[in-house]
Amino acid sequence: MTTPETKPTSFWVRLQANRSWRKFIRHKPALFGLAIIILLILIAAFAPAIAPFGYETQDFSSIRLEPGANHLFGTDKFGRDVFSRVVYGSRIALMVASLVVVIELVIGVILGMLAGYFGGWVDSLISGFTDMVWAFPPLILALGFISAIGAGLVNVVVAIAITGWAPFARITRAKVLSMKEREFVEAGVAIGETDFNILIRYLLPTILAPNLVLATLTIPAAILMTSALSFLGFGAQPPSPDWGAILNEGREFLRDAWWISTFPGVAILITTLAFNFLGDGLRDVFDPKQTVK
Amino acid sequence: MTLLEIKNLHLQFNSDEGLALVLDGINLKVQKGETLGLVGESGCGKSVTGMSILQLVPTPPGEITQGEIIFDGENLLGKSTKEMREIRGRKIAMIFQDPMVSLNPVYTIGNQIAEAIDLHQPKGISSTWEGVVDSLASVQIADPASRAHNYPHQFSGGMCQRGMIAMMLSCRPSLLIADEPTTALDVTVQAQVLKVMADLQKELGMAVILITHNIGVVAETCDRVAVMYAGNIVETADVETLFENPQHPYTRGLLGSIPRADRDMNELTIIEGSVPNLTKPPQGCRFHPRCKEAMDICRQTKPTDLDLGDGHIVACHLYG
Amino acid sequence: MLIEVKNLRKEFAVGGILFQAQRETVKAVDGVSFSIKAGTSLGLVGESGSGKTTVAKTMLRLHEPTAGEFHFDGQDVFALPRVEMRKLRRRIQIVHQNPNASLHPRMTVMAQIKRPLQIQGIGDRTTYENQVLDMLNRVGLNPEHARRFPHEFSGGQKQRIAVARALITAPEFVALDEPTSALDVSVQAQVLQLLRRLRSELELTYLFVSHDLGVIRYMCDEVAVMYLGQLVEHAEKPKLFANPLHPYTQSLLSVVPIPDPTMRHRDRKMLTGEIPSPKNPPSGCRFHTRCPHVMAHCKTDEPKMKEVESGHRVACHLYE
Repeated sequence: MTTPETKPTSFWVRLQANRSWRKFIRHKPALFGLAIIILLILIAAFAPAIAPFGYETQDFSSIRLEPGANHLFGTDKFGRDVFSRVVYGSRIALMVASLVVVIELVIGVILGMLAGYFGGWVDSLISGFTDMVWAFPPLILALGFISAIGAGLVNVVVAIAITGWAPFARITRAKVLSMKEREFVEAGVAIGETDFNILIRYLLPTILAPNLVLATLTIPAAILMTSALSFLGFGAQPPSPDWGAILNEGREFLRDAWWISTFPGVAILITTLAFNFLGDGLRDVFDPKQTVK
Repeated sequence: MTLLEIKNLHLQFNSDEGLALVLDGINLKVQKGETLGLVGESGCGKSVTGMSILQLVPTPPGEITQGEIIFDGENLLGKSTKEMREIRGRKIAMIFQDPMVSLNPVYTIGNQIAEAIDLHQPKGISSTWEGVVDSLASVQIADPASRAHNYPHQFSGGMCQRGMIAMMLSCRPSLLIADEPTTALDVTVQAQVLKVMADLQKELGMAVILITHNIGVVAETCDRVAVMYAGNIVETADVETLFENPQHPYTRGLLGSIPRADRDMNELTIIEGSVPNLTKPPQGCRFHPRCKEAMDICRQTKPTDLDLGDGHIVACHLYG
Repeated sequence: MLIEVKNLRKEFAVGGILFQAQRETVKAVDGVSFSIKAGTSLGLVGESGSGKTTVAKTMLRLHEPTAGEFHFDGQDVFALPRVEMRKLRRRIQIVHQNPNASLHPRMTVMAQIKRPLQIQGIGDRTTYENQVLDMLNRVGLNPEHARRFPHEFSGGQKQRIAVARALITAPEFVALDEPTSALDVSVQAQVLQLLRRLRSELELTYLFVSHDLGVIRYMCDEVAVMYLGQLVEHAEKPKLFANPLHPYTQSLLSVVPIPDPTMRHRDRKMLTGEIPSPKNPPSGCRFHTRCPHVMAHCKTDEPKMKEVESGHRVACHLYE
């Protein structure tokens, strides 16, 4: 249609011309979510500078103090500063959630690509397995897994990831199925690309966008799941400042020390909301067809 | 007698890349009963011209900034939405490239034709099933009585397009705008549809604006031709004159660039380059960057329409 | 003969994802044989559903053949193991119909044209870029274009890039699958001229697939006409256009629109109906449902391809 003038190809110029990017920066909720996530990452990174006390520092002279100037979020039954614990807890939440999602992504993408590309019995096998994993209630499956390998944060990560990769495999398989019929993939075959190179160079880039959206929307689920497992006592062990664990510790004092459970709860809420906002925005940008307006 | 006259029509689109001047002062006349071919390559504005007559251009992003569209002595641009709805279908009908999109998949073809007839009939008079079957027969659908009970997906592409024509012509409009009606069809089927259209036009005495990129189809069906390039009409003439004696360098290039099935050609005429981006159209004559005969004035001033006699109008500085 | 295709068949299974019993077989190509001399080009013409594209893609083993043989320069292509087949791709190439879909959207022009050189190991790392720049120059693009991505180009330029990618390994045989049908006429002329020039400069052999008889006439030395998965006629170009024998070819040639209004009143051999579904092709001669000369045994006996004069083959009971 149009003859392009010689364009400077610096990254920023290209980015500004990018349609998805322009759509994204106009998406208010997504930007809001992104801002909060950046803030959370900064808090996690600079936790020692932000937190006025250590997360383990006990002070028996100030037990279950109400929120005030010294202790912004109050203190718990050991006199630990809840604010400091929540700040340190952001490290656990973000680390665990990202690790979970990365593992799910890797398992899901690999299996989904193999199933979609090779089809036949490979597809039947992988898809059948995927459906089986998906059919289990994830919390029950994770609980069963942990009772087999024992409690602890690392085991929580493994348990959640192993039960949660199915959506990634599904979405990847579907995308590969539609993309492998495309002419540019066929053109790749025609110049003699190997199956491996078709998968990596031609198909992988096309499945990144939907997986990125799914990953962003999976992070809040992973955070909730970690907190749930910690709350139930299977995850982070005391004195770890995991949000779910703090929530659990505050449970017995809900009536006289509401702040112990409330603030980590609010932290969980804000974090999951922020990721959901961002994820919805990314979906609108990458997959306009699913947008309901 | 003039049925439709478009005067100095300007239309712009607000796109991500900026303001695109899609129609840059279009002048066009359609006489009663004639077939006018509107030809040009993709992005020249031929479809937008057709849609703007019926005010089907989505606004925003489209906006008519100047001009008049006079149909039967009245300016359509001043009409309300309700008045336009009356005109659409009853006086001016339109068919599109893909009939499947225009037909409702959950109603039978016969039902849809009946509804189209009812919609534009005076109240109280309703269509008869015989009327529906007759209109299908008029577009050469074999076994129309049972075919009327079919759903669109049971029709082939050519039959759907003929069904659309039956539906559109059931209220005997005085103008039919056909936007690439045969582009999606194979040649043997295209021939059938074009014949049906020509026969019905003669019978109903209606005028047709045939929008197409296929120069062969224009030569076979049109009385007059308007050639569009980048939002301008560059040349208008009756069909014999245009093909025998084209004046605008673009028309000449276009006609020479078609490989013909009826004779051997040694070389095709080449128009270098490609269609300009209408958000940044060239100054002066919009064709000048690709024109082999471009002069200094072409780079500065937009050429005006020049009548060479017998309604042969050309917009080019070579004749100014 | 550089290219020899013998009794090529390709079936696709469609539908029935859940139940095997619902599966239907579409015989997209059903027993096609032809040969192409080195340095000449064969046009494969037909309407949608005729299987012409499937012939090209199956030859290149982009679809695995159901039956038949393809001998390229004496090698049995369909019998080659995967590794050998990948090596052979250096010598046989394809240009797809739609350049918007056939280029890798996230590779620069340089990267995608260089890719075949890397895969086939032609020259070494230091010469790749120069080879690409030479090829860009050959197809009418300049070195600055190398750094850009496909979406920055017009349709015609994209098709030039696709041609450059196909020709970079200096293949002997190129299948062109409707290479200009997604382009505007003026741009089509540029690309056709380029393809003709490259053919003589690089001594290429073409299989040119198209529905456009004009394009076929301009590009090819021989023409083969397909109908519903089978060849109905195959002749040297002058013989086919001057003296079409098969009733289908005769009709096709008579109804193709000619860009010349003085030809308007020529005799047309209109066909009734449309191309039947390849899922359920007619018995006997597949054309008998639309043939104006149909005889009793056309409905039961499949006609064999027969050479009626030197360089002119036809499959029709009229010539037995």
